Amino acid sequence: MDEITFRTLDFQYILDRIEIMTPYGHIYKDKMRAFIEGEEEELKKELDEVERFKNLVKDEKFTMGIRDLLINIKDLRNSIRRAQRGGVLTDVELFELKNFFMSIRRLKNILDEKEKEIAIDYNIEPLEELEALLDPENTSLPTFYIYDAYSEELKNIRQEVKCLQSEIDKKRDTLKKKVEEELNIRINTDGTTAIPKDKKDLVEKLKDYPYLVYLGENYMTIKYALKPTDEIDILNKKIQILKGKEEKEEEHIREKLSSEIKKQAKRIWKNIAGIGRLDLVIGKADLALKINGIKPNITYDHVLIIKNGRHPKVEVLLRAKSFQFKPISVQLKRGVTCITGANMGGKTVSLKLIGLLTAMAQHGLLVPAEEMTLGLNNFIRTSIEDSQSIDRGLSAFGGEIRAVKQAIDLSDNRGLILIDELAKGTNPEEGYAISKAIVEYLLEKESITVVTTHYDNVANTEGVLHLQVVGLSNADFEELENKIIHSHEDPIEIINSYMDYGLIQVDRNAQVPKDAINIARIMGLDLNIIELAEKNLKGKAGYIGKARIRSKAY
Amino acid sequence: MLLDIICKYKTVSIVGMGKNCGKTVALNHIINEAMGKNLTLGLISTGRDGESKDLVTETEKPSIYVDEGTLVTTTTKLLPLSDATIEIMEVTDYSTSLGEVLIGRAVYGGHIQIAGPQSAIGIKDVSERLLKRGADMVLVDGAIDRKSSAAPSVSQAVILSTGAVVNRDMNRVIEETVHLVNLFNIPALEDSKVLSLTDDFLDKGKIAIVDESYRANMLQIKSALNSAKTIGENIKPDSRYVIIPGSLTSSMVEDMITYLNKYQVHIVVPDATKIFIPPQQWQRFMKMGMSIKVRNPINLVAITLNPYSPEGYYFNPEKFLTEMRSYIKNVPVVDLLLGGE
Repeated sequence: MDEITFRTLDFQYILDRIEIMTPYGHIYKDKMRAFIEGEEEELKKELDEVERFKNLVKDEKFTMGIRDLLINIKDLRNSIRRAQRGGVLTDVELFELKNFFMSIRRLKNILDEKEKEIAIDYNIEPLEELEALLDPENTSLPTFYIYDAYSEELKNIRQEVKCLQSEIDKKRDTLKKKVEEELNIRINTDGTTAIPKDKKDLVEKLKDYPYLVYLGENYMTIKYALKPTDEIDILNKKIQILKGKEEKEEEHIREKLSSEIKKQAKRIWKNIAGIGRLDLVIGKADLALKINGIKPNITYDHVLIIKNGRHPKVEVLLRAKSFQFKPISVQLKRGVTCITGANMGGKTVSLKLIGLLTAMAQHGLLVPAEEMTLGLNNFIRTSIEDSQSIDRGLSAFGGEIRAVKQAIDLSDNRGLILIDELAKGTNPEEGYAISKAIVEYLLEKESITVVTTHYDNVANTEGVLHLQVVGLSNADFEELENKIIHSHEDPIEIINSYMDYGLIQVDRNAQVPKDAINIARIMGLDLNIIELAEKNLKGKAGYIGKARIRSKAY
Repeated sequence: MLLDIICKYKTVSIVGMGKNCGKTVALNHIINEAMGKNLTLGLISTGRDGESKDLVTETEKPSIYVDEGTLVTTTTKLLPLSDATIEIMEVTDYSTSLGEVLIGRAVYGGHIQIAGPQSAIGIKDVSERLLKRGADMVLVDGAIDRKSSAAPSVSQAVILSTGAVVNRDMNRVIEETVHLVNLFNIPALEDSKVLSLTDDFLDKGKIAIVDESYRANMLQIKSALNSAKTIGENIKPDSRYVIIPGSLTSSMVEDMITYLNKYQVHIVVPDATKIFIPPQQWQRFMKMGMSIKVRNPINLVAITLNPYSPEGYYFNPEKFLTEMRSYIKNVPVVDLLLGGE
């Protein structure tokens, strides 16, 4: 799939609907690629797994359990890499790792319960030793700090600091009370006090009072603070020294823990990879549930068979307007298939559906259809009107030819080529000639080519499979016209709701249906013009379109 | 002293009228009081706090000493700077320039830098997490600038710190403080039929006019700042409320007031911190009959004074206290350095 094909098929829409929960899942999602010829067995294995998970995610308890775990998994790759390079991890990193190890263990438990349903080994292996290492006090709490249990020395330092601190508090308290009593003043909890200057005796007395130290003054008051006694000073210094020791000891423990993490890094990476793959397969399965997808059959023959396929995006859009998507069935093989049909008949939708479902299947996704059988393609190329190429200033025809050229260059390889309304932007005579030539050329190639066209004599080329969009041919035009006249809705919307996107195989010489005049009429184009158009058409030899037959009935 | 006033509330914000108003002194005061009462505190800050130097004015700022068992909010980058031993309980998704906001518990006491999320919703969320994790009371250290201004409205009670730093003229400090107290006392919107409507527009950040039959007319104005005339022109005889999600300034009121008064229309703002009208204009508008309601009332429970300014000037502490008390009667006013009643 090239960039243009990726865009015209709107494959991003599908990718966006695959919901990923972990940073690791995103790595795998970003790496998703199509399986090609020769990788049939791997794709089958992948599709089998997605299908199994599709059934698993229906189990709400299972889904909720996994979701709760995965959603909280953070990206720890940098921390692990740092540990591997011999770096020292921070408390926060160790906290995150501990939570990660606990999640792995719970994940393992959930997966074990469904052991029978899951065929692929995701390498989710609990790291019990590391988990225990980060929970030295066996609390099983998802919290972390450098625990006392890591070293006797650390424990002793901390206890000592605590004792010293409470000794200081006591001494300060005693001192505070003593000063308060001696001077009959009040001292704040932070050890400061403000003395009004008019208490001259007191101020004088404080000049060489041993327990208060001068802080500052204004014109009314002088501010003092409790002066730590030598005893308290010594205790404080002791604490400072101990704090320094504590910090060193903590760092030493972090180093030890980090080196243990380093030793087990390989096993951690394995789990990370497993979580990534598991996350992606759950995302794929969840998408399958949302679009009601089925597992496509993968064959070695180069065929493309879709039974009642639905376009996942168009289906959602129609459903929002409470319309139903009328499914499409095709049986394609090497060579050229032409799709003809009415205007607005959804030929382009059919084409995109064929491409999108093929791309989905080859990316290991379940497809929205009743059945699909597929021989793997080595490429998909499209020439479908792309609004962005017009923006780039390329003429429509130029863009088309470039896309078709690229497809034709690849056509000796096994692939899928989708061409929409070939040469429609050019004059009909030349357009027809080019279309016919391209169809004839591609007939002999290795690829499956699907072409939509308006031209009568393209689809009847020998060897071409001819499909027609049902379009409005089964619709009751009188009812449709009445509805348009009496409803406030957009006529285009109403016509869309009557449109049958279904494809039927017709004789290669079957006429291209002509609903254009009918559609123009019900959309309210001037009747004089309609009559003139019909007159013009009658003049043309060999025309036996349904439109004329119907217009007679009016 | 302060603890007695606030002990019945679960979440208490401390806001300052400026830097160095003694907000951190008040915070430490409560922390000290709580230590003696076996109360587990949860601490959270809208700005960064507990630094030994204030980044803006370089004045000495008291650091925050937490006791064992205290729940703290800090960030991944500030944590290593703490000399308390903190058990990490949760690393949240709130991100700051100093790393992710995290919640922890002090296993051993020590000094720590408190932090927190920037948004009001974030503050509320983290406050609730602290309560869930066992805090008896959550103290929110908040500034009163626009960024974190919503913090008061997400707490059950608010302590306001004011001081000499606000103005060299003591009378001006008192005037501005009284004005802020008046704003905090603006009545809450009580008309139950208009509450959910109001929340809706406040959430969307859209200006709307609600009429007497509770039909809302949402105005397509991006910011109310320059469009007050348009708001005024859309006021009709049956209009009742003008909902303004952003800031309310003097010039806006000036442009609307004739329309508002003509039909007795109430202005509704999210909370009092969104009002930026100086004291004199406020008095004038009130005399003209302006009516304002707040969606989220602020429950002011105490005012602390700091008579010293870091710029070197100071007020007579006793006079400052007495004067302030003579103007503010319904809320306790205290000078924590003076101590006392």
